[in-house]
Amino acid sequence: MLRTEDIMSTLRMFQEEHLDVRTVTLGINLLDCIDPDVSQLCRKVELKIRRRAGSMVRDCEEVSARYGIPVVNKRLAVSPVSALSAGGGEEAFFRIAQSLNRAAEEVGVDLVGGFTALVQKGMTPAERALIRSVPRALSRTDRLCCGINVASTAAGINVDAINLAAEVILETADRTADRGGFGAAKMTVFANIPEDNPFMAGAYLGYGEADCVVNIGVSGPGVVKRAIERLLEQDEEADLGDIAEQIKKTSFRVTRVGELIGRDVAARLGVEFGIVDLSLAPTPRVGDSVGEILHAMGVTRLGSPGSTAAVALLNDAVKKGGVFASSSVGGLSGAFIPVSEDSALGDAVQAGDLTLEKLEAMTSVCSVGLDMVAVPGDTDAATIAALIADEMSIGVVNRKTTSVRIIPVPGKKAGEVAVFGGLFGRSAILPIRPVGEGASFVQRGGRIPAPIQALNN
Amino acid sequence: MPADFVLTVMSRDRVGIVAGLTEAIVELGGNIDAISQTVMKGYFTIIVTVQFANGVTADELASAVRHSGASGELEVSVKERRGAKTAPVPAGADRFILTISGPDRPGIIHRITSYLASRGINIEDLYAYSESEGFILMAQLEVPPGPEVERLQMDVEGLWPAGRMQVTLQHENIFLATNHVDFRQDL
Repeated sequence: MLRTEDIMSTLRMFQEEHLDVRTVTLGINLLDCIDPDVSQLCRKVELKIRRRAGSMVRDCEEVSARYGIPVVNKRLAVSPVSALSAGGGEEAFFRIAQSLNRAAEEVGVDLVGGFTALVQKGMTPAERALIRSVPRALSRTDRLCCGINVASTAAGINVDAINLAAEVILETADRTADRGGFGAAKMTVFANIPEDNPFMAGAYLGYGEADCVVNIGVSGPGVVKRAIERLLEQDEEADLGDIAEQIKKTSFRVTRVGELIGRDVAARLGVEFGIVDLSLAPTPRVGDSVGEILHAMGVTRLGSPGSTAAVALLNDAVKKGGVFASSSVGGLSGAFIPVSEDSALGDAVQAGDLTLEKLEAMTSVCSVGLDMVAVPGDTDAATIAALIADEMSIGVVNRKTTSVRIIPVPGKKAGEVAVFGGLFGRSAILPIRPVGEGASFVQRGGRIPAPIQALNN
Repeated sequence: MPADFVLTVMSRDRVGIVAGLTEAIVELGGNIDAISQTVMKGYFTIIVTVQFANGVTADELASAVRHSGASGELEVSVKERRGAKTAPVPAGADRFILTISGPDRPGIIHRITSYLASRGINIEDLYAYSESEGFILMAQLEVPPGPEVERLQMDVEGLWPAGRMQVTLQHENIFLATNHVDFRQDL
């Protein structure tokens, strides 16, 4: 039996807090499309995507109408493309990229992820070819996303792969200089990449997954922000434990809504339901910001001392509420702090309060890493590689996912503004300290061995 | 001969009404299936479904319950349940929660319930009240398959001049999922 208070509190989530589902991401296994003839391979890829995802957008819209909850993004995540072609070289991967983009456009999804290589311990020739094809692929497509896993707690950090990725990021930005280096915004470098992440740019369908599976990204941070504000309006003496409790309860409800939508979409598509990803994913819209949650908690200047603790509280409370709500929690499941996509974070960067170093510290307690960070276009590959190595080491040592999605903006310097538009937002360009000439740490290459799994102090 | 009744009782509220009427039912040998009871602005109402295996009649049940209160206190009605034990709702109907809020004025409930009846939408539960901040109505509806929810909501909003009443229509599962710890989706 529903109580009046239950109905009213749920309605508030819709009316005041703009509850939505951030993404429905359909994972599709493409390993059964492998063919030595690249033309045949591409044909099979497009056929399979059309067959499995042809009705996805319509199904999402019907479910959205049934429950009155917007589904903001519809996306695809496919098997790691590096596994699809063993001997075709960069040209083959470029053609697969075009096929994926064409199929995504045809079925009407926003983005397709899975242009992916898992190279945490070493690289096959195919994986190297895929990574080398990334600049061309991302500059000549509009929906394709790329994730490169260069590190894991089990395998350590593949610094050779990091060096290659840094060069690829710079080249991708150069090839899309007319769009502010936007191509690099569709590529993420990971440590401990999850197999069931529904968020871009790192979504792909892992080898341990079903043939087709629906994964869900829950509503954005606006709901949590408003819940905290309401708590403090009712009880201005509320302490941090009370705030954590409020976030937890909100996360429970948000997760339940996500799973409800995801299971319905999966049933309509006739595929398995996978996971709910609890990540709070901001958009540039005011009120839909992780930074604003921190403001609501009392962190006036984002990046000042206390910011890391506030993010830690937020991230933990979101997880606790989510895992109680659903037995199918997965993906990244943490608070995102993508600078250009989060208006409050962007403002803090512009004001000089939030630095690259502080962002890095914050990523040690939340998902998912240095995300949508614009840096000067003349940043050298060695500096980008070193930055990636630092972020990967946080993930590897702390047994969590971390990532780097960095955009060297061609022709622009620190303090200038990069505008990517739409959900990708805008941001002041952060200064980055170069590693300096002669610095050879990451350029020595090789692997940083896996960290010890005992003596955890 | 077994008998199956629906019993309703209304009176000014006081302590002990349910205890008294259930005692009467027990003494007649009845077994209660379901009860829904509420008190609104000082008045008590209850609806009970009850089964008897021993040939008790509707009049005997009504008399016994009436005598569980003071003379003339309880307004009692008893009907025999016949045929289907659930309301005749079309197969595939979905449950939705309708809320309407806004300034109170005569005729709101009549207008919405007339519209719902014209669309073949059954009201399973209805709760409404008026207070200083305005009027609010919450109804649990069984909506036949077909009309899109958004369209239905727009139709209901269109029953009043633009902006006067705030209308929401959400699937019941949303409320169950977000409020009930043990909710399991049953698609």
